[in-house]
Amino acid sequence: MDPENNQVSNPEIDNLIEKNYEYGFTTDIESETIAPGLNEDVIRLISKKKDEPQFLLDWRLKAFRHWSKLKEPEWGHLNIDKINYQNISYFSAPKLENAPKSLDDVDPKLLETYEKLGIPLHERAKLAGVAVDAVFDSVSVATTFKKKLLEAGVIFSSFSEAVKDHPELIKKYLGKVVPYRDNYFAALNAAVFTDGSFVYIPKGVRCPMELSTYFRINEANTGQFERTLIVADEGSHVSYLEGCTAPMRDENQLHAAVVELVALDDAEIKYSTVQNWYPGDEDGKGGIYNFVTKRGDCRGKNSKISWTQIETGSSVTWKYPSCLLRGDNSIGEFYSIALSNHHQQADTGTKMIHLGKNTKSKIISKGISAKKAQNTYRGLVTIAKNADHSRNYTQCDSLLIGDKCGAHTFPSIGVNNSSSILEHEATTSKISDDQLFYCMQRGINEEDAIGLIISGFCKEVLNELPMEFAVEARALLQVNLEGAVG
Amino acid sequence: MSTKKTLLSIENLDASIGDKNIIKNLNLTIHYGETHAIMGPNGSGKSTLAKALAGHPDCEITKGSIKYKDIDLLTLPVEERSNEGLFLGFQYPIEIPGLSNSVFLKAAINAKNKHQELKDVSATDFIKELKENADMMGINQSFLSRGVNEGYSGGEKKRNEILQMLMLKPTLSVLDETDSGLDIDSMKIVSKGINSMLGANTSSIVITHYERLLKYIKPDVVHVFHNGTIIKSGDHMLARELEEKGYEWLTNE
Amino acid sequence: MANERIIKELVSPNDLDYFSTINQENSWLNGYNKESYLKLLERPIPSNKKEEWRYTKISEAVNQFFLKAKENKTLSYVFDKNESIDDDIHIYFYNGTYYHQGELPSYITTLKISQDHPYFESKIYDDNKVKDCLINDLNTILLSDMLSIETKNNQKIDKMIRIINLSHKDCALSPRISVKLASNSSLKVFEHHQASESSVLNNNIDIHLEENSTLDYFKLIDKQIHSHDLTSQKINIGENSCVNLFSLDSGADTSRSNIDVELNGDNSAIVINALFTPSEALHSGNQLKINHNAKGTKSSLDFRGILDDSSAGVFFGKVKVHKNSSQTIANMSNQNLLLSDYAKISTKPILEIYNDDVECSHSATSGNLDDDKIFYIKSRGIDEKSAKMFLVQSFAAKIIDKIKHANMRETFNNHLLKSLKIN
Repeated sequence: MDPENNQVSNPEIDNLIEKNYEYGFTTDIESETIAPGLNEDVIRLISKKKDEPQFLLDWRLKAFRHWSKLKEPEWGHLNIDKINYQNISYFSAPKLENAPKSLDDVDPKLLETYEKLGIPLHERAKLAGVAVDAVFDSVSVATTFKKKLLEAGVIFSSFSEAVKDHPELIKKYLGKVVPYRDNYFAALNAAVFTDGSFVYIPKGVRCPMELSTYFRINEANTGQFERTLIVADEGSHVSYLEGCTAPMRDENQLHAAVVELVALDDAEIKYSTVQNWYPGDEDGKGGIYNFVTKRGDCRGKNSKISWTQIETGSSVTWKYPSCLLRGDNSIGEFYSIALSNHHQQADTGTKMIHLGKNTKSKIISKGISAKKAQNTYRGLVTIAKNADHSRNYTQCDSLLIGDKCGAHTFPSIGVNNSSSILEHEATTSKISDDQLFYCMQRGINEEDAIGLIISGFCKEVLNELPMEFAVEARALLQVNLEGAVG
Repeated sequence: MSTKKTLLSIENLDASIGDKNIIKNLNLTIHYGETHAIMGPNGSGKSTLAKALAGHPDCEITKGSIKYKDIDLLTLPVEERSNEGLFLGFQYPIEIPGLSNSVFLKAAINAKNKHQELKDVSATDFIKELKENADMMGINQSFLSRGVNEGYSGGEKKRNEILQMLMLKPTLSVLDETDSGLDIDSMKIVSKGINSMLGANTSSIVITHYERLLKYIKPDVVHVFHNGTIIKSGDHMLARELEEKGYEWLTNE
Repeated sequence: MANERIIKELVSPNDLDYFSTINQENSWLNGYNKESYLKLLERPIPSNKKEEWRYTKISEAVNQFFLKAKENKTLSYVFDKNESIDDDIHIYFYNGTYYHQGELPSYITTLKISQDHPYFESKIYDDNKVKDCLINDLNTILLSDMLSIETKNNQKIDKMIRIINLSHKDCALSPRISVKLASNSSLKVFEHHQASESSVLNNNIDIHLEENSTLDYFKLIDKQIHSHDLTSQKINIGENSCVNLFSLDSGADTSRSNIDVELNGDNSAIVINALFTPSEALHSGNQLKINHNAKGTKSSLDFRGILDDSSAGVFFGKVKVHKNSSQTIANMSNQNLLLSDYAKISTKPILEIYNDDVECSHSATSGNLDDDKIFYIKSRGIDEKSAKMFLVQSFAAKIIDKIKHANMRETFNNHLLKSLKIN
């Protein structure tokens, strides 16, 4: 046991630790939520509860000390209330007493929520051969298809399990792509992350199925700090999809996840996100704050990392999945649809850093704003001096619906290599009355017509999603635009 | 003639776009199975009539009535007019980037089926029919997955309009200058498409500037439009006469 | 910001005394308004951590500006007898004074600051109260003469007004020009910075158009070694009026052009076509801020960079479409040729849109000459150097060909050819 933990002075926390000793972590917890607040003791407690090795605790503490010195970023185009980090509870676990042994045991209410969102979890899992690692709140409660994956040598587990079972891999890759010093929220996440997913695809293995995780935020005032790490070893291939849903809620909730991807020589990672968290009501009340750091490291030659995201939820989104193109001939891709309605604010985009020779990147961003929403694309493309013969193609299009919304594009481009070619295009348009009339003349009602025009506008991105999710994503876009016109 | 059933009856119609009164006291009756050609110089109000029939939001009906299948057409929203079998072939077909032709058409057909309380069209039937019609219209298969009118040439757009018409099987098709900008081969293809639609239970209004389309599509009645109303009607010989003499001998009267 | 310096810190107290003696009669400095003047010296120098100044070595330019100002020679401009006199109006700015031959037409006046003109108090100081106007501040500090061009209603002026800013070695120039067009008038201005080595130019241009007017403004900046060229151009456009701006900048150690446009009248328009062609270790920085404040406004920005050697180009364009500005059309394009392995370009074409009834686009490209095209031309028997020259010229022609005025087109073309060196 870590002797430092004896310094904990808060009696409440002491009490919790006692309990932990008494009954052990995995068997006893009823519904545990640490009292709101953040200090080193809380971090020690999280680490202790999760029975983490010393190196991880040390890393968390370093991150926390760094975070304590940082100033919260200024928000540029975002308009948000100040977050009180001391009002957030940094650990919450579901009641494992009733923990589902299989998906059939999952609370029917949860399944119903998925159902409403068009995600019949168990059906889909069976039909599509998707392995599901469902994260309810901060701790993983259901994992399927593990065996099949194990046969292929694929490691797919919750982050906490991976810390126990494969500490050497965690130690080797954790924080290497997104160091805790990277930004305010990356530091916060490193200090307090509670769980997430870990994937390792061994050399030459093509992951036999689509890996997928559904996230959901459960309890009020519970910050979510997921951490995902995917390592694709030489010549391997994996496609990972996360989909997020959240029930109605009044208070803003903070979500600050970190995703790190590492692709070694000839490896390929495809990471898709469908994000549909509670965006707040029509007056902008409530909703999730989504501040995510996602980065992929194309470390090996001929490696490829592809990000696809459908962002329809959250009241505020701040997210720039990026690619470090270090290996020669590596490829980075970013396909994004960000839809904001009512008072939503989406500030999203990507960074493509070309370091290796013959590196290629492609950015397709589609922003849709309706009602009073603000949608911002922020992108950075850098071609370094030695990145000979590199290419970037960027297309970022905005669509406005209604005259109170805003669409903004902030591209930043730096080219330091003359043999490289860069192209950037951006357009802003609205759904024209002519287009609507044309569709309606063909018998299609206005709402459906808008849905069709939107999915046409987003086609290049929707095409990147696995088939069954593309259908869901289309539905999501239309559902989220309900009431946007008129 | 009098025993024929009336499909469309326009009475004392005035229609304006913006502040400008364009259609003036127009009267027109079309029976089932008839093809009417509407000819006239530019700016005579032909396209406004097409807009009025389809219910374009820019076009305001200030006087008169339009009865279609014994329904007061003017009370119907745009999409219901379509679902009731009124098809407008656009003079300038609209581009919808990214939305594929086949997805668009399927949505339109299903909207109509729903209106008629029918089931959605089956994917196989739809594709089969679409292929047949596309072949007839000389439209390459690859076009069907491309965006609606996106990057098409003028001729391709017009052929695509006729393809949509064939798929939607309207009762009344209003073809607004479908022949403009077509070369002779496209004209023949387009005419073939239109002719294949005509029958005892369908009617069409062919709006055109030139007589040449009427060599391929035989109208039952030819109307001359001027200043927002019909100034002369006759059989297809009238079209021939117009081609020879121009419009001036009528408009100068 | 704690570590932000202010202008005064870059000037020694002795130098400040010196500046007040070079313009002995300058009541601006010596008289009632010395306080305002001193306030200007308290203005901060933006650090290069600030987004807008990131790529501009501004402190060095400011430093040099004061050093050179101190060394300013008190020479007068002597007209060359053999100078060909065309129909155009020629005005020279030299050592703080505007010179011209013969009578100036009534719509052009040169104002001496020593004359205590109310313009200086109201316009210059008050206008400078707006934020982020370092270039204006510097200009005002060393201001001596200013040139005012004002048309009357319905006045259409066919003659080109040529303004030549002449810098000699080791000088600092602070020209200031005000151009005002009354309703239904038109005007053509050609401004040329003829530079020699080691000079600093701080140029201030205010442009204001009432309704139904047209201004064509041509701006040519010679290549400058060991020099700094700072320009601030503020343009305010009224209803149905239009400004067409053409510029060619061949770069300086620091070359920074700020163009701020307010499209205030319905259906007002700004069209900017620009080439920047820095070579060696020179820099060319272009900052544009376009505000669409009214209905039916149009902006069209086409900037092309041709960057050779270890030069650096910067394009920062921000087009903002405000809520009430419906039926706006805004197009912004920045295309670049990097002709050398050491050349760099940084570009930020920003759109901020708060209205759905708009047609906006922006684009940016960077690349070298197309090898296939070079090969194609060579296969027709043309040597590589000429082939490259053809291609560079065809790239630039997209800008030059838009100049309708034949003389100007030729002038720009000649300067372009001079500024390019193809290896």
